[in-house]
Amino acid sequence: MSEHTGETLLEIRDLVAGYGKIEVLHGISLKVQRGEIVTLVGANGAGKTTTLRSIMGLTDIRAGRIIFDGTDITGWSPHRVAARGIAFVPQERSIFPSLTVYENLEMGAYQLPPGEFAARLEAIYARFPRLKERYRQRAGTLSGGERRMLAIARGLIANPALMLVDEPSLGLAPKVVEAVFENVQGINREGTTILLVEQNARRALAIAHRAYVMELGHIRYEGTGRQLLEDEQVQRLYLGGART
Amino acid sequence: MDIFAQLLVNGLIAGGTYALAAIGYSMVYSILKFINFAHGSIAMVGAYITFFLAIQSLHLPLPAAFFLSMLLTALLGISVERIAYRPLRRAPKLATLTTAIAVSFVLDAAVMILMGADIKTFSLPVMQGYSIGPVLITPVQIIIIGASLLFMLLLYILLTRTKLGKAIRAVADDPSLAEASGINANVVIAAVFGIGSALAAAAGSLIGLDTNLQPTMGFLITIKAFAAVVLGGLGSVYGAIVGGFIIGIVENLGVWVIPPVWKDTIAYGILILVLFVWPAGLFGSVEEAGVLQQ
Repeated sequence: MSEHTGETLLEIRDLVAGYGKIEVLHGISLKVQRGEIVTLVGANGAGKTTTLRSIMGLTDIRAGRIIFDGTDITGWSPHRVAARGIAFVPQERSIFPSLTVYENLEMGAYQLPPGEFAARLEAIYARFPRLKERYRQRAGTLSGGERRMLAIARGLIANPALMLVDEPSLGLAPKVVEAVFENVQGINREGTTILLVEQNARRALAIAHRAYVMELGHIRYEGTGRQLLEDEQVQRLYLGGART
Repeated sequence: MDIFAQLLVNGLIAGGTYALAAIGYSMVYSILKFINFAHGSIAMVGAYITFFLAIQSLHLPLPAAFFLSMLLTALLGISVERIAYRPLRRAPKLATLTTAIAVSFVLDAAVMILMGADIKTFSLPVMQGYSIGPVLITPVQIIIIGASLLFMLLLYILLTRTKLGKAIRAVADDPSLAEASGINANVVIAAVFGIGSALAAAAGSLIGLDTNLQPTMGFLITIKAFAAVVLGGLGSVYGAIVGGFIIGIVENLGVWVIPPVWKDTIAYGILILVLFVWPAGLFGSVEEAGVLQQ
């Protein structure tokens, strides 16, 4: 695992947010240090995805603050958040299906100065050779695993300081899941901080430096990945019982 | 058979103008999922601006008036979106739809007050037509078909080769993801209204050159462009172009068998038939068609 500096990259303070009149997050606080993989685990409806979407500016924020790299980004529109250095890889609808693979990557790099695109593209193709093979193909025709790779690549090509990754393993075959997690770890080792939401809590806790357990719009526990994996209560409530 | 060829050419000419009008309609639908019923009135305003600049007041050369009208109408379209539609972005679609109908009334009334309700014609000097086999075609008609095809080619290059064009397609695919990728969706939406309105001005001006101008022409353009968009498949720009040509051709071939006064009902007929039998249209998806049935 990579060394992290202990410098706070992202801080959420007492965030209350949701969609229209529906409040999903009832005052959550969390921190992500530069260089970490932090994961949010919890049952469906706990507010994990809403947390990521709130950071990105895709929800209605009622109260609280989101501080990124020393800047208060609360209430910013998503394109400004993206330009500031945060990439979002959503769970579903994570690619532009009618655009080609190459065009998807171009859109991911929308805010990048034109001169930097070629070098970033090369780095992305080196990590995901499959995307290079398929660069002219319409993204909507890719397989599930390839789409997931493209979604991650689309976020990564902007060279973000922080990547928000939502349920990267959802609906994928076990072998593909393995590759996705390896990529997430690899991206982190190369210097990108990652906030990961994952249904497969055991798998996520195993690669995370720290984790937060969410329940019904609140944060219930926090600790290192290992601590939470071994905590009996967390095991019983969120990991489906002790590992046999 | 000679009549058939002549009607086919007439249909292509009308179809080119409908296709141009339908492009803006379709592009706005594809990014905002909203049917801009004011689009035909925008085209009508564009036609009157060309007429005003070239004939009524400044006597600019026709091409200059034409392009200046496209520019001014683009600004009008961008303003309408900013003032009338954007505040309703998160309102129910019915509110936006009603607003669009109100905008069309305002534009129709404004032109009627400023320019009069009477029919106006460009009354260009009569030019010798060309005979191509059995078909007679006038220089104006050649310009109409040429301009239609040129604008469609430029649109294709914009959408597939430029950063803005790709961003337009990205916003059409998924506005949230586009925003999260760093694309300012409001800028893209404004650009779509500008481009769509400029093409509508071109369509309106060309229709004005082919026939004549009156403030109520907007509604007819709206219906024909709407029929073209539905026939081509909601959300598909290329479908809208094909739909526009089909409607123009069917309309003109139709006068072979039905009295010409019924010509304008053909677009309605196609619209109703497609909605009943084949709601996804030629190139659309069933999901998009579902929007119409809500």
